[in-house]
Amino acid sequence: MDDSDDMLVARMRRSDLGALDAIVAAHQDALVRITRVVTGDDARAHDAAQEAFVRLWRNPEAFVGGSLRAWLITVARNVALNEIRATRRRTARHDKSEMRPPSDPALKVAGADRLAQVRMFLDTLPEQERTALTLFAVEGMAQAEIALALGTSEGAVKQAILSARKKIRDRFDESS
Amino acid sequence: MPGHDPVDDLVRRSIGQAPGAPAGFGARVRMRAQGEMAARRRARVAWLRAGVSVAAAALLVAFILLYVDFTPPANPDTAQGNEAAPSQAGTPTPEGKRKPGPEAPAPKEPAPAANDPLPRAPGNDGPKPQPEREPEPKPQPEPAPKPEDTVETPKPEPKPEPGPTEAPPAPERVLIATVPDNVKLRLFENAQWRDAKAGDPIVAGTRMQARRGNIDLLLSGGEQIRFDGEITLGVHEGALLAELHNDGLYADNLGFERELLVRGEGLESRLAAGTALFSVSSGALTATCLEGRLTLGGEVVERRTERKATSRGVQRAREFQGDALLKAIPPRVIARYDFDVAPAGGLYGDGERLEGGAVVMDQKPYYIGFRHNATLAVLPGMRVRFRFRCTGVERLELEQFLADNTMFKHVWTPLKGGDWQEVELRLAEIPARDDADRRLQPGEALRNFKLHFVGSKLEIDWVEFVRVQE
Repeated sequence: MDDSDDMLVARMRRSDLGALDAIVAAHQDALVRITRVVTGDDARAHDAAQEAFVRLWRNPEAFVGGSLRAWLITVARNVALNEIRATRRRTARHDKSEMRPPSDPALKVAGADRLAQVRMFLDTLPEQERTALTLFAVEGMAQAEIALALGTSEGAVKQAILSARKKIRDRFDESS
Repeated sequence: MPGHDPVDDLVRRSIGQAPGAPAGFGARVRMRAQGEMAARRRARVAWLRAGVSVAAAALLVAFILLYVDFTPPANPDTAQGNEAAPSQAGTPTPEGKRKPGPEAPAPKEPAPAANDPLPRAPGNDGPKPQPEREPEPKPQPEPAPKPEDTVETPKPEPKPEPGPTEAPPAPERVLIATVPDNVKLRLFENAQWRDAKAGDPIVAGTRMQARRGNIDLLLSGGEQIRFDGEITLGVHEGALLAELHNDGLYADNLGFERELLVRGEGLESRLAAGTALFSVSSGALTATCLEGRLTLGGEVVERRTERKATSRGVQRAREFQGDALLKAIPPRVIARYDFDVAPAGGLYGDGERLEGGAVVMDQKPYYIGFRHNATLAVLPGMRVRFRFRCTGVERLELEQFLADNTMFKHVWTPLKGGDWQEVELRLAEIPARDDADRRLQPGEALRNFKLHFVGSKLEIDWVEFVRVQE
């Protein structure tokens, strides 16, 4: 996969739109899923994912090899976090009600199934833990690649995943 | 590697339920990429054209310098020929810039960059006195040697070109404001950032960065802005230009004709006689209209709504929910009267007197009043404030008149006598004397300030009309 990504990026340096299409097709779902986990909002997730592809197109030299998926996730996540920061500043007074879904762990969701509860608990986790667990469990990324994407160490990723799992389990215990 | 865990399955199924990229996502990315490509091509062509023009101009100048003989013939007729040249060549420009200082008094002195082109253009010694003195050459011995000094005198002649080309930056380098502190400045595109000292002049083109918190600036044009990130201020076709590099900007140009043009992320918004918030992030410019007329990407932003523009267009309006940048914005002073001298519009002159920086009244007809120099337009959020001291006063009555003599009146009892105290009243809450339901409206023009009192003595230290962002 990496080899073909490298080749596609090389073609992109020659302004080959077909290469961009191929890269988008390969990574768009993962990018949108992960930015949705970061932002909790569809429109922002789409914007951030799109921005990552456009930045790669604008400056393919910025990708110097390695995992393209990790590179794209890094860019999209940074864009999403910046957007959240800007919005939070703009709507500081209304931040909590607007930006975060209901997150009271003691809140029992009547009729909600287990998967909806998982999503809700996931939303209450710190962003890094939430993203690390999603990349690991959903995207099947290796610890080293996640570390690359999040700009942190493998040890920190491992810790984040374990902590996220434990918190979700605890929330289930509390709510049951 | 953390091993497999049942929670992972739940997360996978939970997140996996959500859809991935929507239909048309790839097409939108492709469209943006094509747009970028076209823009890049246009920029390349523009650079190429500029390069060709510069090269052609350089060749032309080289050709002129090499092959054109500038030596004027050593006969008195040349003096007439030269007469016109220096006067067109911009010799008067430096004189004109210094003399009509009143037009732009502060700007030109502090702008060091503007000084560079000026001394160069005139050629210092020669041309300035020449055109004036040559008509009367006889009493002056100087014109005689000049024709012999053939090399120096004519040189200013080719400078008509540099004159006009250097002139445009001068109006651009106008003074925009002076800095408070906690700002970093970058005077030119590639210059180093440096900490600003309070009172540093900000000329057009200066890039500013908030070191911490919000930066409040009262601009030399009278407008007020606040920012918490990075901006560059300038002027563009008569409008004030704010290029927003990151974070937010609050601007208030209510009551001014000069528009504010805000650019960020390649997008543009324009504010006319209003107050608005702007912010940039991730390829988007967001504009919120608080008052006045605001457009974003050519589309109107209605009052109390915000819209976001990206390269894909302008999104629908959303109701404004508040913004931390609006917290504790300092009031903008519209007019202030310290009574060290009489107000320009004049005291009513019924016995008030100026004493120690205050205006004092202790006789009939028991009021202190003055007229505004011109009428004062009421703005949204405008308030009147004053500091006063009264002795034996039971009641105070503030009266303000419109041009058609409609009176707006507020009556109250001062809390205590003998001490200086301050009062602040919202103009929008002061009722008309003859119609209790009518209030002062934005756009109406006040012509005076008049404070009646029932008692023995009233002193007013200062009066000011301010606008407060509410």
